[in-house]
Amino acid sequence: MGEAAAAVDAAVGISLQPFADVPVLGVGLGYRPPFRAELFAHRGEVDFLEITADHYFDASREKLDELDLLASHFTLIPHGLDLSIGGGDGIDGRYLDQFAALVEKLRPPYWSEHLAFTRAGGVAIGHLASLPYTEEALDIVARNVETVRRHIKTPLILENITEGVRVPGAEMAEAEFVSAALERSHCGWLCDVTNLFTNAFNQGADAARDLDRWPWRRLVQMHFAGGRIENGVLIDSDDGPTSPEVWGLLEEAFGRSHVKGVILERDERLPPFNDLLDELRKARTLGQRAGRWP
Amino acid sequence: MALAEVQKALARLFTDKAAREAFLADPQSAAATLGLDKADATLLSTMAPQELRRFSASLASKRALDARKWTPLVAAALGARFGPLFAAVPGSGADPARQAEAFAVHLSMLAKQQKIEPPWIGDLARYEAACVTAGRPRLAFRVRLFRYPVGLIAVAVARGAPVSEARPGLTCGLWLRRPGGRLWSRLWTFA
Repeated sequence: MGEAAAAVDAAVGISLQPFADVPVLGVGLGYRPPFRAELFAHRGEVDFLEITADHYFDASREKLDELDLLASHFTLIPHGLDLSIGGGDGIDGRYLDQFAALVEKLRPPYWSEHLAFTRAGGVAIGHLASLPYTEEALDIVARNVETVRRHIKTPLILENITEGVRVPGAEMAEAEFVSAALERSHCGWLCDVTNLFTNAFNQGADAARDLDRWPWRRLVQMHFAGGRIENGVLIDSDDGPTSPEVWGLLEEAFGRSHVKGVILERDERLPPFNDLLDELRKARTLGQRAGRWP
Repeated sequence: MALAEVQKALARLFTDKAAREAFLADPQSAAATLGLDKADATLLSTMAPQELRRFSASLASKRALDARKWTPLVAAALGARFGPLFAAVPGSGADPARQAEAFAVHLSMLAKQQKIEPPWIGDLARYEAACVTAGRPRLAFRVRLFRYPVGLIAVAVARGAPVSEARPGLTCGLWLRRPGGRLWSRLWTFA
């Protein structure tokens, strides 16, 4: 499990200690307001929640009341959408201040963002865009994370995204890029297993065969969900049940890491809440079998 | 060229259809307008056109999906027509309130010209846009006049009940919020 990388870390005095101290969180859900009532009716089956941080920036009193209610019953992990951690323009100061205030309010064990860029040259893309897998992009990620860390001391974990468009000029493969970005920025990994599978599927690769290339020792949290195929392309729509392939990868990931928590990230076409609970139960069992939690 | 410049060009290609199609047709000619030098134009020209178009289309779909969440009643009332109608509204940035307002203006205009059914859809869109705007924490004072009883229509749409026979009824809406305070809103329908 990445012995060479571990040796490099040791040689330069880098430690994974911030993440070793993160408590085991278990099995949780990406919070969506439509299932709030059922969430509280079944709160014993949901260990923690991931909230979309952006929804609570510049929020109304009513929205902040909702946040307080959630925080009084669950550990909340803020998950950002628009930090643009790989953006060559640097980090937006106002956005960062809002994020810092939310983290300060919630005091989570860690917070998360995407290894992507979402804005450039004054244009808000409105979605996560892939970075070129280059040394320059790695330097920019490390620089931006340093900026972020001056404002938010809480450990940061970064998520691998789906490659909507592969930017030409890659100097390495995605797995090597993600590994290097985490090493250089000293961040933990939020492995979106569905994204990992989606990229491999769309490139005709075998995700299960290539698992050794990913930075499992940096893994802190996982995402899983189902996607759908449109015109032969797998879309990470997070709007369906988790596929057997993703369940298989999830099981493998449990065995390769000391993951602290997994989140079912269902965004659209929300099914009956019991269907979500069934998926959580399955993930819980996989984690138990691997000894990740009791 | 620096990554910032390449990302700036990519952001334009992802979000600006005219710039995208011009670049795909002739990368070197379009490079200057995107701020790219010759080498980067050549490099980006190796992007798969279908990937670029698909990703750009996914941005539009995501925008419509987000808009459905902000304006669920209009989305429910329009059904499958929501996406194409929303796509016809000129870009109004990422701010949900601005998007909702722009969409409301568009639907109101169509309703006024009797080019869309039901006739109250413009009022419902203006009602939801006012709610979205008033959902912000800042000072809110908003008054809206509606031709139809949007309160009754909103309740019916939320329940999935038929409202196509709704008759006109002058309605006044008021939204109030002091900074950081709770929202107070009322609708009055005059017989």
